[in-house]
Amino acid sequence: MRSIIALIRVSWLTHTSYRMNVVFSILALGALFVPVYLVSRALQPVVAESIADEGAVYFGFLITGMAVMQMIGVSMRGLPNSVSSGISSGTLEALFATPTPLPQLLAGMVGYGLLWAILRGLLLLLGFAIVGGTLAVQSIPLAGVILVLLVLAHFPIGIIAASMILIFRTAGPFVAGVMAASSLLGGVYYSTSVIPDVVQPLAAFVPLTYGLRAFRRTLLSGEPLSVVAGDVTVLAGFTIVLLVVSLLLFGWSLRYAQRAGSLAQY
Amino acid sequence: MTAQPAVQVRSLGKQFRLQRSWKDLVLRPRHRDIRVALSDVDLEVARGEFFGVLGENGAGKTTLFKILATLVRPDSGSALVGGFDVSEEPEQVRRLLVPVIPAERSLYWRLSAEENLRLYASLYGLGHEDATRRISEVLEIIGLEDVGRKQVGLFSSGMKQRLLIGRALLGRPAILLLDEPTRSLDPLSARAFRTFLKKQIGAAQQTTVLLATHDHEEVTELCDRVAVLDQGRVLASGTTEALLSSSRSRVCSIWTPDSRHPGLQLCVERAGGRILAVDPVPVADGSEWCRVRIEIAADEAGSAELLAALTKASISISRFTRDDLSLADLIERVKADHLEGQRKKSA
Repeated sequence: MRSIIALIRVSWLTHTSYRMNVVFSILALGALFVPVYLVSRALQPVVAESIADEGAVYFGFLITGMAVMQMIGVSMRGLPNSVSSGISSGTLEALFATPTPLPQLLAGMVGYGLLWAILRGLLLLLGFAIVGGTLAVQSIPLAGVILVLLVLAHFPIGIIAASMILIFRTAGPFVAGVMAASSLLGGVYYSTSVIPDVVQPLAAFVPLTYGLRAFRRTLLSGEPLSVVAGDVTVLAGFTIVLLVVSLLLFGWSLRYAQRAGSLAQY
Repeated sequence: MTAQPAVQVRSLGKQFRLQRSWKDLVLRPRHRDIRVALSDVDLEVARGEFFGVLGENGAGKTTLFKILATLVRPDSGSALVGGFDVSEEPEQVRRLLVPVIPAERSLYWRLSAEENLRLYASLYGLGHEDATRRISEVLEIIGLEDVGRKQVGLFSSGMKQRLLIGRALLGRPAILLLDEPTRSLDPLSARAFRTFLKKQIGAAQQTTVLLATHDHEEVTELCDRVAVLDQGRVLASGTTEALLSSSRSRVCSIWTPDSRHPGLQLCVERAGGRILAVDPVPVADGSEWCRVRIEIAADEAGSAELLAALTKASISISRFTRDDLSLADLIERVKADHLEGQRKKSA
């Protein structure tokens, strides 16, 4: 645990040493918040029926979708970005040459980015509450668990992308593709019920569909676990399967890189 | 009972598949281009020893170091570090041996030296108080105690190199791998760095050091023993003194205005030698003085014979010196001797 905290601390110190970067990052949230508020109010009558099960307020629907998307975006991009820059700078070799176990190194490498994204997501939700949005306070612990599952379910995408970088030096459009598919089919901007019938079945293969629906039902509508249990179970299933597959793939690709001698080649 | 060597390498082999062009992939899809990085390498490094690994670029030095650091897996043979196999017990190996990754960019430039060291202290498993104590010890060892709180991005190359070594020293490694540590340093910084290595790492810490280098001074000043690698094979190994002196006595230089004298070549050949190079030496009066480098027989009699022959042929000589061999000459010599040995064996 000490090594994870140390890696997170170093990322935090590096990030905050670029002071304007931190300021702009917060200001960007404000710049995002205002147009979303205005657009969602204008579209409320059009989408009200389709989101009736997920809070019924389009502004809340959009803000939760965007907050979650930020977090899972970092969950997917954090590791491949760290691995890629670590290979170029030599940091990866230096870290791998220490006796710290690999899982701790990986967690530490993405930890800060994830915490920062969670903070930004929480600020969005706080902004929503401040402008009069309703959050089901009693359901926050359950919503928190669902959020953790959502992040964990998408972390394997980052692990797979990092594996591809170890082998091919690039993950190509893999992460961007998964993110695009998730945001289009997972119900970030509109309910999955309004997706055309032709692509509707594809939404069933996107973990975000289940996670986001359960998260909104819990946090915005205050539904108990019994109502969202089905979605949570499917999300947990995705998480376990994807984590196992991605960790196996990463172990294999690391051994491949050690055989090919490519851990430190650009 | 003999003490366990710090590093023991037996019949170590490693090949890399080379990247191929698109055209080659289409025309010969099943073909594989292979580069042999290490072939049948045997080495033994004693505890507390400064061991130099010499060789041209691509000789296999870095691959050998990466295998010892568990960053690359060998194809064949074995490498033991403190008795632990690098392939089977990498965690134990990483507790004993630390490579100094020569990449300055692997440091966090926006952070201070102390912050950089604190991260790695945690990764080496040191608690907060131990880490604080060890960081100040290490900063003192590497001579950066006054600038510990300064941002690393403001450091000179030499200071960053020291910090990279300091980072490696945090966990008190028994074995340190240094891959061309002075390659980006100016001559004065390089000399200061060598003194630091000798006094602080070798003498004070009793750390075993494996040093890959192209630098003659690093070899002569630091290394107890050396091995010469060429195309992945160890061509020679032994004490630095023995390896250098066996070749040193074969090369001498004479300073003469008679470099075009017809008798010069004859005298050299009669003494069993050959002319290696003729370099003009600038002289104030404009006369054509040259330094002639000559390879002669390996004993003192060879030089005496040459001097006598030159004097007899009335060739003017102002100086006669035995040359220190450059590292390039040494590697060339070892390669030539190796080929000669192989030729004799096959004959």
